[in-house]
Amino acid sequence: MRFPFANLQALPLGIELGAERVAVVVPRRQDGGLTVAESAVEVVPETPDSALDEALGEALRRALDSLRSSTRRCVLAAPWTEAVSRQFKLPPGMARREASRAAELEADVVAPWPSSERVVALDPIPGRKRELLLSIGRAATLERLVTIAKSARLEPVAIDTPACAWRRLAPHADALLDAGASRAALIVFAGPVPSFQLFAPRLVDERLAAQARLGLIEARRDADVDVHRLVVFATPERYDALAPLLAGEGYAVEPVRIGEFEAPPWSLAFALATWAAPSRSAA
Amino acid sequence: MVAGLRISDVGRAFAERRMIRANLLPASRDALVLFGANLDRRLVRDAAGGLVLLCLVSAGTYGIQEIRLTSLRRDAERLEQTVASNATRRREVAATAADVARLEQLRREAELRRRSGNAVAATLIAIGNAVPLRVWLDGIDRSANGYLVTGAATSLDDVGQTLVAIERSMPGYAPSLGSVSREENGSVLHFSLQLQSASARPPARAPQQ
Repeated sequence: MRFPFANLQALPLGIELGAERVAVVVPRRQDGGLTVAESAVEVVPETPDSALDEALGEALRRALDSLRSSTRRCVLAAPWTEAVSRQFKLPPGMARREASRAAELEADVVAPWPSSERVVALDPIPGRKRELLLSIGRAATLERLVTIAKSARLEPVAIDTPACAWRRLAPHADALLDAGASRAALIVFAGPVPSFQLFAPRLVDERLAAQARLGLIEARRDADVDVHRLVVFATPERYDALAPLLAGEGYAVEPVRIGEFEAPPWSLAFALATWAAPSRSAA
Repeated sequence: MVAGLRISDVGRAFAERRMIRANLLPASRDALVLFGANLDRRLVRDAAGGLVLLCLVSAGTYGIQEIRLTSLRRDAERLEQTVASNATRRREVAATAADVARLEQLRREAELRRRSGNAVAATLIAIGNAVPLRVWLDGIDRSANGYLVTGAATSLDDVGQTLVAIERSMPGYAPSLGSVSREENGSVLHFSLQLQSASARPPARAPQQ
């Protein structure tokens, strides 16, 4: 017999479902800190797109089988190309229900998907009462993620965007270059809602560094943000190649650090696992 | 494996308005819209489960107490019926007890009356019963010290037996032979006995040294 609320004590798992790897992190509160109790990373073999979901599900089950945790609640990440986020200003006096309708109208402008094929979410932005985080995702993709998770007997409680997750992991940074996958992304933390730029897949290091520098210059021009601290998530070899190329432009480049680890492959999964932490730390 | 981010760091980032999170989980599957608010369906389910469990525990406790109360009420009714059914018997017992008390009183009074009969008549009866067959009495005179018994006998031996019999049957009296005389034809002895009450006798004289 499962006692009600008993499993709500544990933080949800952070799960990264990527085309190249599946990472699972079991977070735990300990001594006032958020620690990684367990982690597992499974490489997804090269698979045709038609069989990718099965391969992801199989890799996810293998990763979960290697863990001792019985927690089944989890937080997933929407793919970079399948979700967009915007800052949504709430007019004075507008009720939440009216805001939802206004967000739908805003989504018509922002999102490339029709209303029947998208999911719109409004989430609060800490410290800003009249501003909300408007997130729009492709419904089919999100439901596919949920299906994959449920095939591994998981219970998704949230689907976050990678930009928000990276923001929580590197709150001190001005920008973060995610070069951990074949397709890199540059996230600039200019305003309350991070903006990102997705690069072409499989760029060589020099090309990626050049495009990242260009993206940072554009961010400085468009968003009037002075990027100084740039955090890079990449394998050690790739970081060693990228860091000098970026540091040469005057940026303070450093790798993603989680405790004593530098850019572990489960970094994004851990960032997703922090999804449930602010609700308590904010109290 | 222990690696991580201190919650205080997360909290500081939150306070600095950099902590942000989205939730694009399709609402139709995992959220419950209630009064315009999106609620975690699982949280609602667990809360409902807890509420149901609480209701079950409360109902069970209430049921047990109700059963106990019903049983106690039934016992009380049974005892009241027993008390009511025994009322007639209690009245009968009370009446019987009153009769017994009254009869006991009568018995005590009868005993008292029986024991408190005429002492003189009892003494006369005792004297008459003590007289042997060959002796007959002519008279019994009562005096302040006792009785003077006169009679006749055929022999002196019968007179002596009469004296001994009276002494045995009347421990409260000390009989003594007063006189014995024979008739002229010599066949009958007339005698007299003095029965002196023991309380009226003078104390015995102490033997001389």
